[in-house]
Amino acid sequence: MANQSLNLLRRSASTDVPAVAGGAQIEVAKLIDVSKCIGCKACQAACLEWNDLREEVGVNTGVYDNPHDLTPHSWTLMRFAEWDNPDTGNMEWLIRKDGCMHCSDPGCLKACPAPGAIVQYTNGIVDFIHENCIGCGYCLKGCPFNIPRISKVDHKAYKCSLCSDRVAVGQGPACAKACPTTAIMFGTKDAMKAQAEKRIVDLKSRGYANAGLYDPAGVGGTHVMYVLHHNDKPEIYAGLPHEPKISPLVAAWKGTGKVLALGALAFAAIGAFVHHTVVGANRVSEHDEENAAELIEATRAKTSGGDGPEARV
Amino acid sequence: MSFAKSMWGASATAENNWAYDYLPKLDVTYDVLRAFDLMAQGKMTGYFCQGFNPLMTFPDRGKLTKGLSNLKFLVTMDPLETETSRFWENHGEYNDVKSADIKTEVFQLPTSCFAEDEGSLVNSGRWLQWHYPGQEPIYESKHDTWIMAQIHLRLKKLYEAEGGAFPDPITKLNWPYADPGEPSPMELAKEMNGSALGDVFDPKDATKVIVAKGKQLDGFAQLRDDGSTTSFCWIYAGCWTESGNNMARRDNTDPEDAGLAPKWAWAWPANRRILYNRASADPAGKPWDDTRKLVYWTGEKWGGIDVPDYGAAFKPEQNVGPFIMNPEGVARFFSRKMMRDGPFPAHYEPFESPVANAVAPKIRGNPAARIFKADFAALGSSDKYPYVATSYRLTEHFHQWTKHNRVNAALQPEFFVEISEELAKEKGITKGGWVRVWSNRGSIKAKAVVTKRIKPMMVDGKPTHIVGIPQHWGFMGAAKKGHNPNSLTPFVGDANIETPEYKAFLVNIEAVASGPIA
Repeated sequence: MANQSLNLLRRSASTDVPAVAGGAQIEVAKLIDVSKCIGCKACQAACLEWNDLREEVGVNTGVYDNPHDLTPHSWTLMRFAEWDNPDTGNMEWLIRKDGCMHCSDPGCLKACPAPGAIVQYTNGIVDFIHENCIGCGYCLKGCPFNIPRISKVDHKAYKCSLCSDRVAVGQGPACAKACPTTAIMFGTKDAMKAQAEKRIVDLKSRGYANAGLYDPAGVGGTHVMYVLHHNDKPEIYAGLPHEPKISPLVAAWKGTGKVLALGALAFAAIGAFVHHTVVGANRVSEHDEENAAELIEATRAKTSGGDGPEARV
Repeated sequence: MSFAKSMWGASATAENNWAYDYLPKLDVTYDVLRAFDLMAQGKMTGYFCQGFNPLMTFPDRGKLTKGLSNLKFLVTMDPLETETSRFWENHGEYNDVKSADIKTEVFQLPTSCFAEDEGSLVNSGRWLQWHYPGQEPIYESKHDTWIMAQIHLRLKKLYEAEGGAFPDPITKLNWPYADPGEPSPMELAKEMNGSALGDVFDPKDATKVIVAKGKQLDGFAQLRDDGSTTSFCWIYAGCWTESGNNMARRDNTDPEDAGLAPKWAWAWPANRRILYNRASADPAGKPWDDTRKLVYWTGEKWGGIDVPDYGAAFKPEQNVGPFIMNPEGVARFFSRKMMRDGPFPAHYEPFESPVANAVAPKIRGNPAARIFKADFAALGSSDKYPYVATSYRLTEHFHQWTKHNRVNAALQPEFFVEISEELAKEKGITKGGWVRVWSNRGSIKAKAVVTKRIKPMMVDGKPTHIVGIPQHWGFMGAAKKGHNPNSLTPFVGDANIETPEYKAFLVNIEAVASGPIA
């Protein structure tokens, strides 16, 4: 159930979004300052604890990343990248906290065919409402950041909720609370942009000429933003997309595709009606009935024999 | 005297020299290295291991296993299933022991964890902060105080029945608790603070009683050497006075934003937050910095937001130095007497090093450090062990504790070693592949993390490779079973306080096809 104190802005596969009572809320944002992150994974631990999730105890594959990808349990993940800076000759250990970006224009929500399975609140948070999820995985196709993961247990999609339950009662997300270096901050989007600006000035003064804020316009901006020391090369941060956009497939599926599909559906319905009136209903022939009777007999003979099937194996 | 009264009460008298002979005297320091060396020699036959997991932490695990196997009894007290408690249990390659050959009787006593205890924690700023239990101890676990009291009462009974060479220190131990079977944290804290056994008089006016008989003392200045006061630990006098438990104070008012918060908890000694705070004022007693004034001379006395660490009657013109614990009254840059390799420690190479000592090439390691003969013989040299290994911790884990926690175990699940891309290439080691690492004392298997963060170093003109070995795994807990660097580390301590030399030793490394078989 969506938290009642959060007002809906959008709802997947729905046209009946209720009018916002009391006007629009202020947009919130989480700011992840990659330049201040020490890669301790306290955010990952806090996320697992607050959301009462338990990740599998995996294996080491020669890197620090654990688990090795986002999972239905791990809604956030530290991705470690070792990058040789060709300009300075220094190796830079770039550690990025991966997870849902809470896009202003959420591809997942657009792609979702289940009414109310994905919602966006007026504060910007994009939330999955699991009781409405049908586990089709279209949200993953719609996501420009490859974030949602489908559970093999309940076949529903999972991702970071930006701790919407905590935000609803005036708290920041659990990861921000746990971060020992305040590399993760939370507040209004405006305040976070102002904070980022200060950090960028500082980073530029320290020689990071391309330091900047990652708040990509291709998805209408995001409610999780990064301060990157090399904002001109987001891809060096374990493959952060350069100019993320919602897949054209999603636009086709919800735009022209929808019209075409409706047309096809109508054509099929008309066709079926014409077929019924012209040819009439399907009938079972006597030949079919005989074949069926034989099949049933054969099966009975097989299972009622002296040895059970187990004994013969 | 007050300590003796706290220990032995009425049995500590002027006649028996305040029970001084009841106190055991050390002939040598019994640090962990010596303790395990004595065990390995069969000279120490019983061991109490309270909140410690030596099998996975102290150096040269092979020697530790030998030592524990030589014991008649081992008692472990821990909230967790430690490897030390299970040193006798075979866990395949992770603990390959012959259980049938080990005769040690092991008593595993589960204790509560700190969050289930009431008491005080002392931080590095010397604050004693009282805390309350979050929950009752679970299952059969008991508070450490209960366990120790029960052991004491049983020992006392045995000594009373059977006598022995010198039973007095145990049979006469002061034990004034409401429930002798489990002293309460309050009783112990009040005893730590100390109280008046008789009326305590003003030293300037022998007719004036400053603390009446039976009352808690206000601070260590009230302690007397005539047996009229008791205090288990003089520096803690003031923590629990007649005004109550000062350690439980939670007033975070912070005058002048100095970061002192003098009414939050209690700091030893005398609630003084900054030692030698007289040095915050110039010789005339005026603060060096008006925005950071701790104590200053008011014209009549020493005032300020902190408790002055200075004689109350010292006038600035008397020119008494602020460092009152040093005879010269000023700070010291080096310690002339207190360090074995002082006053200025010289750099000596570790006992296992690929290069000779620069100052004394014929001497191995630090000549002021202690190393036992057998352990010296167990040192390896760089012809057989060409790589320098070092041990460290990871942010995801705390010692050997958090591997018992599913969340932490998932974040860093499996034991690994870290090497440079250069060494990996040289030895045919792949990222995430298995390696064997061995020293002259032991051998371990681990996953290989190949990283740009470790680079070969130029040492004495030679490229020298490093093997990094984190220390959080074992054969108990939620994480995958794994080894630890202490299978490899040398049994040698530093020259001054015998801290084992975990940070530099010699190993060899090779790629292997598969991991250990448990």
